Amino acid sequence: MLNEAIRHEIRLRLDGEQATLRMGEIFGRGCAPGTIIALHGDLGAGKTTFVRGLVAGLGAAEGTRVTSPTFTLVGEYQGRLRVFHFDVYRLGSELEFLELGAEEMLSSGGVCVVEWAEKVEGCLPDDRVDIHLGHAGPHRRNALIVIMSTGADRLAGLLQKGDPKYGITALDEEDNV
Amino acid sequence: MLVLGIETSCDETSASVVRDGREVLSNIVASQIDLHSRFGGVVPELACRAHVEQVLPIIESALQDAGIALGDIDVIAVTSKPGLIGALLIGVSAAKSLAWAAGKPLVGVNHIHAHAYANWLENPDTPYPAVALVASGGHTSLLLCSGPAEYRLLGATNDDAAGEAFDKVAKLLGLGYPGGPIIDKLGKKGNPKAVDFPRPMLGKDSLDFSFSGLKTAALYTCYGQDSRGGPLPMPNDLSEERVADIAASFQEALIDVLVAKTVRAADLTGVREIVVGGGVACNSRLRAKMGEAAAQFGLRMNIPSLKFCTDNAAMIAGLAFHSAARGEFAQLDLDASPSY
Repeated sequence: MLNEAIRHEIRLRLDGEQATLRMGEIFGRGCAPGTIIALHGDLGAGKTTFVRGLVAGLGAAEGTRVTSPTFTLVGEYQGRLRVFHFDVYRLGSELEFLELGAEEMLSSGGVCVVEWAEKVEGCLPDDRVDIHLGHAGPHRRNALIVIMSTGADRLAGLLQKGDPKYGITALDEEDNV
Repeated sequence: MLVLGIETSCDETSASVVRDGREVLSNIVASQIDLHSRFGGVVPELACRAHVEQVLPIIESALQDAGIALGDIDVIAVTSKPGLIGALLIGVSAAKSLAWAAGKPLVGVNHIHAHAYANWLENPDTPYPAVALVASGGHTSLLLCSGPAEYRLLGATNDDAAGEAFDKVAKLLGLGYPGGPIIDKLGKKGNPKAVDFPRPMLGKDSLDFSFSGLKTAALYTCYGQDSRGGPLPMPNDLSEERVADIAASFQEALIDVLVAKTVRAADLTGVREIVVGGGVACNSRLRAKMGEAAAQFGLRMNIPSLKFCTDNAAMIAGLAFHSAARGEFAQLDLDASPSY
């Protein structure tokens, strides 16, 4: 393989909703065409909040409304790249994910972000970013980001620095997410 | 003018015949709630399969009930947006096929506009302009209705819909699906002031909604925190009284926001008529509190009976009459869309 995927593992502490939004924005600025992001985390962990930041970071028009796709299953946004926002919480099988036209969107060159990704893991390529969001208090979340994606060194660098002004700091190794 | 309306945007398959936008000759609704309740929400694949099985028999019974032959129908109307894309496509395909086969004109209807219009089916004398709150499992929107079929979006939810918040909190509390009616009933036994939940307003003049934080606040109230600050994996042994108190307090917070924003919208647009629609408009506490607020601020509340609040095709056929009267027809390439 010419561009072998390099594995980066980043642990962040997110204080306040602003921090989750900001982390999404950093992703939006740094991610390459075709990036696939698998989001994991319980109800209220900040998955849709992350996507809101991501869409803003990709330069979507001001006032773009990123709503929960729990009902409609997939939302679509246009920024510097096209964004497909899946929520597979209600899907019964991977087949239903494919019936939504997921394959086409995953290979479209746009950014695909999938909430409750563990339900459709078999449909997602290995070359992707996994983000695990965990509750660490009513206003604090921990994030474990595993990047197995080509051309993501710059993104990894941006994330590793954190952004203390927005409540994003590095998390200790032993702190579970 | 006789309009046949078809609605398949979420869990209800429905067909209806309405004369001149107000006289409901038939309104058949087949609900899939029983199918879905086992899963704690609408399961899309189930929804689509059931729509396919039901849509033609339901259309036939709507015509039969009305005593009207398809040939005597003047316009065929169908919900084309917003909703679950697979479910919408089934209604849209059925409507297009019928329109083509019977040589009838076709009208595509916006589901949210139709929920606002539902009021005029029963209360045709409600004067325009009016502000409409439409709240359901998939939508929470405020509209300015300046005339029949003249609707403008004033605000909408930034994250979760009101009905979705009811469903998710009902699930947290282990109460089942659909969450709205269950919390409504249980809330009557609870103390709405037991928990001081946030009432997100997003700024004084914003007509948008945000219910995601309220859902997270309910999560922490139900589950409590572990030593690291995260929610415990299982609820503490919540007593029945505590569950009722949380349900009542959550409902109170959500409804306070819906009412305050609707009153604000009327104030900002200088409108005196308020219309409420959508499945959440069945909630007895919302009906009572919106009525109180209307009286307090000198507004008039208009709200249809429950059967026209939940999804139904009569509202689709009713609104389509006005679109047809304005010459707003769709072609046979009418497409379904998940968004507004």
